[in-house]
Amino acid sequence: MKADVLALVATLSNGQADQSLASSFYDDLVSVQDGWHTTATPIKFTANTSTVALPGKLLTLLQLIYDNDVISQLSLRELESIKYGWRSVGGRPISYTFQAESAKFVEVFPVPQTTSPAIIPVHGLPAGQDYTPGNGIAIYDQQVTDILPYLNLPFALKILEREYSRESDHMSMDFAAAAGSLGDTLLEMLRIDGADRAAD
Amino acid sequence: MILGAPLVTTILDRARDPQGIATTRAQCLSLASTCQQVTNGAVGDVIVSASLTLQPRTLIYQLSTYIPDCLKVQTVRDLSNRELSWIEGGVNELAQINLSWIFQVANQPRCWTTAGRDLLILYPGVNTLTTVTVVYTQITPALLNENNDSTVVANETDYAVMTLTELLLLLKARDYAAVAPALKRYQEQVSMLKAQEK
Repeated sequence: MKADVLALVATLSNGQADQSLASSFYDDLVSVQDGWHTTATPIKFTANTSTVALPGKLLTLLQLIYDNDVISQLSLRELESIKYGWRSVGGRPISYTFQAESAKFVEVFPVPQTTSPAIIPVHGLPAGQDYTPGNGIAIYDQQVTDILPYLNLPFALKILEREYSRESDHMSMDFAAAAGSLGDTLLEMLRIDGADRAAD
Repeated sequence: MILGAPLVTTILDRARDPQGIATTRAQCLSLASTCQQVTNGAVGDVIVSASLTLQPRTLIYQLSTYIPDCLKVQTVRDLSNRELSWIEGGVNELAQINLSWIFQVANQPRCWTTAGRDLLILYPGVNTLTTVTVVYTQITPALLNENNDSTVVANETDYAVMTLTELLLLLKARDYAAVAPALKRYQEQVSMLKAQEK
């Protein structure tokens, strides 16, 4: 939890760390450390509209699905090489691009001809049992408020790295380097490693 | 396994603060608790299993909702206790297997993968309710009382937990000359523990 991380920061800094800045550093770190907090949510496609809004908490899009199929990411140049006026082509979306779009938006090709129907979450599984065909699903890294509990210590160390490398009355590049190095080491140790899967 | 009180005493001695002046015993115990979680996450000492009920036509499960104390999924077993195959490449490899992977169903799932650390994906899905057993590295419980609570990792892993906690206390005391060798020692201990047969 955020409160636990900030408490660790206060303990390890002997009370020197600025708590409001530590809170900002925490929010920054959550938005750059991907590969930890993932989720899958439905997204809506609108008829005759190539632009699709992605969830507001999205950090990195891992996979985009329309109806039953995974759709591929392409660049603008690739789409133009397929068809020059690709935005005028209607049909079932098979690809999308991020380029020339605002953040948290993609543009799909071809343009969908029907609007996604509403999903009624009877079972509380909008990306599973409650899913209604014609919708999309985005699997992505998300920005969270409270991180997974075993990340408290590495995140606290990375916050201390930032705190002690900024101009202040307690600035210490040695402390910042040591805290940052330890934080990076612990994060690397905790990442998924295929070598330590349980053997038969 | 070691009781909280001798654990804290040893760590404070190693950090050259036996009276607990710079860091109180309660603070030291709290740091040791966090270090136990991280160390267990790295070496995978405490492995437990839990049943997961699979919903019809649902392949994606949020681990923090269904198994909140899961740190890392090790394997998944079906009703017959057979290990499901692990798909190393995640959702990208699933898309290579089948572009419509998310809506495939069968009698039983045959493989599993994760997306990040919080999504478990079982492929294909099922048509009716069924259960699988998820074997995972557990987030170790917190150490709250030094006279009642013990660490839950193996004895040889306790040394790594002590080293990491000592490292934090040295960092807290700004003893940078001792931090680098302690970090190297911790990394060597974790490497050795990971290499051991379990």
